[in-house]
Amino acid sequence: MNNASGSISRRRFLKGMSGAIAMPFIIPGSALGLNGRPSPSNRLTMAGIGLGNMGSGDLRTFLSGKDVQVVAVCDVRKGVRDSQGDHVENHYAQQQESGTYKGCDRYSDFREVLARDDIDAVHVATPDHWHAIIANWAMKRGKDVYCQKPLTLTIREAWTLVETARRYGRVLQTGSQQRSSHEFWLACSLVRNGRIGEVKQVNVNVGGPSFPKLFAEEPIPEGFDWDMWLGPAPKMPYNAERCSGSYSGGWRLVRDYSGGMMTDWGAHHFDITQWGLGMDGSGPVKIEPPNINEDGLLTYTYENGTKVVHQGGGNGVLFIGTEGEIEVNRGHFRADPVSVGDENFAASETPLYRSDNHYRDFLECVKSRQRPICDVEVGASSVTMCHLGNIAWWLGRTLQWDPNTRQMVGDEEASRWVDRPKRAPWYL
Amino acid sequence: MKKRFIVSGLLALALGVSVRAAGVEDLLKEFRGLSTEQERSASELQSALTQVMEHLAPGLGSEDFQVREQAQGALQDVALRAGRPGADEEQSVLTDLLVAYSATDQPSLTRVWCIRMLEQMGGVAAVDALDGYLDDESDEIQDSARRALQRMPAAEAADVLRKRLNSAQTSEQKIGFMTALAWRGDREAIGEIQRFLKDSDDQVVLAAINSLAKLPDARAVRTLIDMRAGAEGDIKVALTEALLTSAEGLKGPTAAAVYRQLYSRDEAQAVRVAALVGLSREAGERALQVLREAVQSEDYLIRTTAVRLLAELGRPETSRLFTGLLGRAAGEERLQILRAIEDLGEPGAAFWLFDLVDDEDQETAIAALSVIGTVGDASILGRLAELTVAKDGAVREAARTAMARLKGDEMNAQILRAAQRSRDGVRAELIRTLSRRGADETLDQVMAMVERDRNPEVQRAGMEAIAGMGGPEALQKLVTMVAASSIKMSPEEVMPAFSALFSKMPEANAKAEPVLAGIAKAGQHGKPLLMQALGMTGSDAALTALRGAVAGADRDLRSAAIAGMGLWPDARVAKDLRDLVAALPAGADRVAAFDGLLSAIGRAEGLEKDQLLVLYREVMGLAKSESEQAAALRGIASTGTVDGLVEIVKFLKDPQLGAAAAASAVEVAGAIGSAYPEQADAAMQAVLSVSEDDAVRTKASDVVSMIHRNADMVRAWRVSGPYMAEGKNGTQLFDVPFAPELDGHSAQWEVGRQPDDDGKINLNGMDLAGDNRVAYIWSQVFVPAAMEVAMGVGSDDGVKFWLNGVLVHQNNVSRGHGVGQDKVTADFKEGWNDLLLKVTNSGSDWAASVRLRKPDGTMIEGMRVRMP
Repeated sequence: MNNASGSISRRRFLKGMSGAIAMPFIIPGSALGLNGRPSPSNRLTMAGIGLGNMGSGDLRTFLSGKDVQVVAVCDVRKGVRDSQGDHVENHYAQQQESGTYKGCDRYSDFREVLARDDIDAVHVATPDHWHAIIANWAMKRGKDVYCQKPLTLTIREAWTLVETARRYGRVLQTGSQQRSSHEFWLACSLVRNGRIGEVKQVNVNVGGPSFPKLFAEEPIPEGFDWDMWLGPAPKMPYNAERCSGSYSGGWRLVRDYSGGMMTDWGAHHFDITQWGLGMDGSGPVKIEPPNINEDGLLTYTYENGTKVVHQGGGNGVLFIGTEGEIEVNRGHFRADPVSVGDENFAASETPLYRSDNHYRDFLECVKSRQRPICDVEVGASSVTMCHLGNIAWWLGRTLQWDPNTRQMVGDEEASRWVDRPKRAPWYL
Repeated sequence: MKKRFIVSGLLALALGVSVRAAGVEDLLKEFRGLSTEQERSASELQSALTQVMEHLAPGLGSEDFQVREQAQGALQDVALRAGRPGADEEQSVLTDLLVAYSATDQPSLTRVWCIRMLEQMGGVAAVDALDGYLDDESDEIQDSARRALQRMPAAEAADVLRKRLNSAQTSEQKIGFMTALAWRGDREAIGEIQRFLKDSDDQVVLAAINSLAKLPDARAVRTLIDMRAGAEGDIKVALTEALLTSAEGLKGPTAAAVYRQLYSRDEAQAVRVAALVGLSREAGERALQVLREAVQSEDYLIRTTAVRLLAELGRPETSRLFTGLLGRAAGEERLQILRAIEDLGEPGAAFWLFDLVDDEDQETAIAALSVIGTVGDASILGRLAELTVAKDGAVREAARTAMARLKGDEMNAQILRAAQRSRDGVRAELIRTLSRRGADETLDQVMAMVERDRNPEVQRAGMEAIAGMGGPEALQKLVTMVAASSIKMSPEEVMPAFSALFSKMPEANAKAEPVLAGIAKAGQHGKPLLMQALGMTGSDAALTALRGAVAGADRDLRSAAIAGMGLWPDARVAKDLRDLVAALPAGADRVAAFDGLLSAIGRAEGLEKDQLLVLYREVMGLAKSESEQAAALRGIASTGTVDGLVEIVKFLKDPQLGAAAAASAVEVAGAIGSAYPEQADAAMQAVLSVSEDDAVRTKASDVVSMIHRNADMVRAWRVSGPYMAEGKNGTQLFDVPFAPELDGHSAQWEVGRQPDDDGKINLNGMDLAGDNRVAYIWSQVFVPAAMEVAMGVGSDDGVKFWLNGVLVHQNNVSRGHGVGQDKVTADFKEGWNDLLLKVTNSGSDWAASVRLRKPDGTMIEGMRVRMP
């Protein structure tokens, strides 16, 4: 049932070998299964959709890939798409003897980008409420997708993406890049190999959910397609803060567009939790909101009794087992006792599939047609956990969840939150 | 809070409910779930919720968005709570109220919010009203009502949506109603939706196709197939999607027919792949035939997809088919086939894969062995064991790993039996395999076998077995084995076994006693080995024995004792070793003593870096040879101190030590360059002036670049903290003074970690991490003349900034870090200036940065930064 785990299993024996067995440096599109078309310059052609904080960073990373040619950028803000388009062209111009280069088209409407047959893959870093529509549209049109986390705005959207990816055999890497960081790989590999015994509890700190949030109406800046920014979200007046990517405010904290820090950081730390527990493809069965149980903390319970407790502390993820603890965060790893953190795995142990570079892992999988380390099903499982926490938090009551049917149990109102209707004319 | 109170009071007055205002607040708290729920009759519930709505309604439509947000938030809480299981009466009353407040006589903002609440929890009683709102003159009200009906589970809502679809005029309405019905899975709408496949607006046609895709229907499939024949562009993509999803939903013959049609050679590759996947599910034996043909396809993706699907079907003999494909496949495709064989898990496949072990591509051989280890059983044990002897390097290691991974009943017992009847080399490998498999239950039999076998390789494998499988009880066996050994084994072969066992034994005496007893009985080969092992025990009796041996006449025992001291678990033997180094001439014993001395210093606990530096300097004084001096230099470098760096630089021009000194200097400067930029820069300039080693010069240049990168950022910080106060969060701690900002209080300061590339110091990366706490960071900045400085202060979260003891900036904020978030101008005095920042953390990330420039934005010439 757990396809994601199966995929990891299949790739496991490749650990440490990928460099030696890499595909040829120049890959003809036909060999890559890219609809039989040869790629321009024999590179993977890419477009960036949504080029704010994360999108511009993603763009620069892909741009630095020698096997990538960025041919288009798309953003609803003219100033942004022009500056990013210029950046791409300047980058390539430096590689030309002439010192000039033109060839990165700019779009306001993602549909025009995805209608192009000469684009192999896209990276999507719009606000969350657009992820599902764009990624789904892209995959149906034969593109592979690097989609920023959190994967989607709703649970149903996430699993629709899984279905589409599987139907067409597309590669979708979720941007939860902690899976490609050594310390998280090590922590999860150790936990999965039983180094701390049976895991009883995991403490995770990611911050709170989003809420309805209002802002004063402001004039729409010139060159900003506000209706397109809103897209499937309810109509609201323009305000700079509403659509800001700022972590201290902005759209991330507004429920129409995002799940707040629960999904923004949850897509990292709950993702690691699921990885360590081996729960990709599955999830908890009970979710208690804050101020309900004895500890007063948002608490998830899996069918096997393992609890995941959302609690403070800047220490990322703490796995608590019967024989020790492993704590991991970015740049931080602690094992207690120290011996359980020994990185030398015995022959009887099986470290998890390893990626040292999230973007590179995606590109290699586009070539090999393997599932990447943060495959769509992984991203869907993790974001489901995030959304379940949010729904429990919003409703203020304990939820029962069936991770197999992916439905709420015995709560009609909570069921309504598994998905949300979209503003016409948008649909998934 | 004050604002809210005033507004609430005015509203209450306007509504004439001032007398019961306090009661309404209590009711609101209760219905938001913030206080205990009271029991009420139906009429009391109606009255209470009516009061709550009357109280909130004016705020819902307020032009002041802050007032509106509060009222909407409160209503949201009430509504979500009313929708809880078992609260049917509450839901019903609130639904009626929301319908009333969403009526056309209410302000638009109030209406929109009430409709959204109906969308989230409204009951069937809202359907008629929502139906009416679909004719509203406002597009926003129309679409809100449509979304509410979409999300409302009542069948009556679907009836309205179907009726409205039938009469829809605009494209947006048609799309909205169709997608709403499809979202609900409303099969009664299929016929109506099909009507729009012929709409003049392509967007409507696309929405109709997409909606049908969500409502699988055999008749609709026929229509879609016909339509697809002449379609192109987005319409064709949507039709393909609809056919595939319909097939997935319908299954059976209809699905198989769709898949067969879409697997046509004329179709795009992605469609063929999707169809192949479908065929494998639906077409039974026919699918097997198609897949077996597909693995021979000229299309890479079709071939590899077919392999994967066949593996998932898991029919017998599939592995045989796959191994037949391996000869023609290469690279990634070959690996995919191997993965498929691994997934199939047919033991028989292992035999066919042995051919690949001799492949000229080493990685193929390794991958094949990996699969053999996964799928193989006892029948291939002998063949695999022979490979561990015949092969070398990575292939041999892969064969060993494969043996360690073999599964099956009694596999360990079978390996043991195989070892007992094998020739020596293979026997040794099989013993090692048992060790790697953690087959502890076989240790006694392995030891019995090893005792009978005088072959050195088997003896060595026996040592490894004890190390891998043995517990404390195995120590006596090991001692006996070493004591009685008639062959000469090296310390490198024996010590790991003792080390492994000792690591499982907490008591020093328990480790030492059997070894001491063994020494008394041991032969000439065993005695020195046991003496050296004694050094790892850490017991008083062991130390006495070692000292005795060092002072004794037996040269072999003396050498072993010196080597044993080098393994001592703490720094207690440092003086013994220092005296030995001072006295010993060049030779093996001196090397052992010298290395041991450095190790002992390295194991010293509780010493500050400066104290360690003193010890390493003393070692340098004792060093005679070039290698000893180089080792002492590495010790000095390991302290990571400025003084150590200065010490190392002195050796840069030394003919023998220059190269080692340059390498060490680069290492230290890289580590402390941010904290001590001046000293590190000077050291790197010295390295660049003398070193001719390109690699070292490149690294030195990198360090210089690092030091000068972001030269306007303050990159050397001492850190004090964390500071916390019971019950206070990060925001509240902002004005709680702690030692660093209080006169007459001393604080403990640590060297801060290297700032990130953007110049920020990450406080969560240190041993301070956590929520609701405070840290202080302190640096000193030199400016050549008194001047006005433009400071860019970045922080996550709040920050207070003292310049030379004067508070110049404060911002109690919760935010993520950005360089130059707060702009502050301040007067710096000539010479060194103290910068002290207090940084709060409410949660998650925690960081700060300071950028210093002239007010016109240019760099401050002559600015220097140092660690206080």
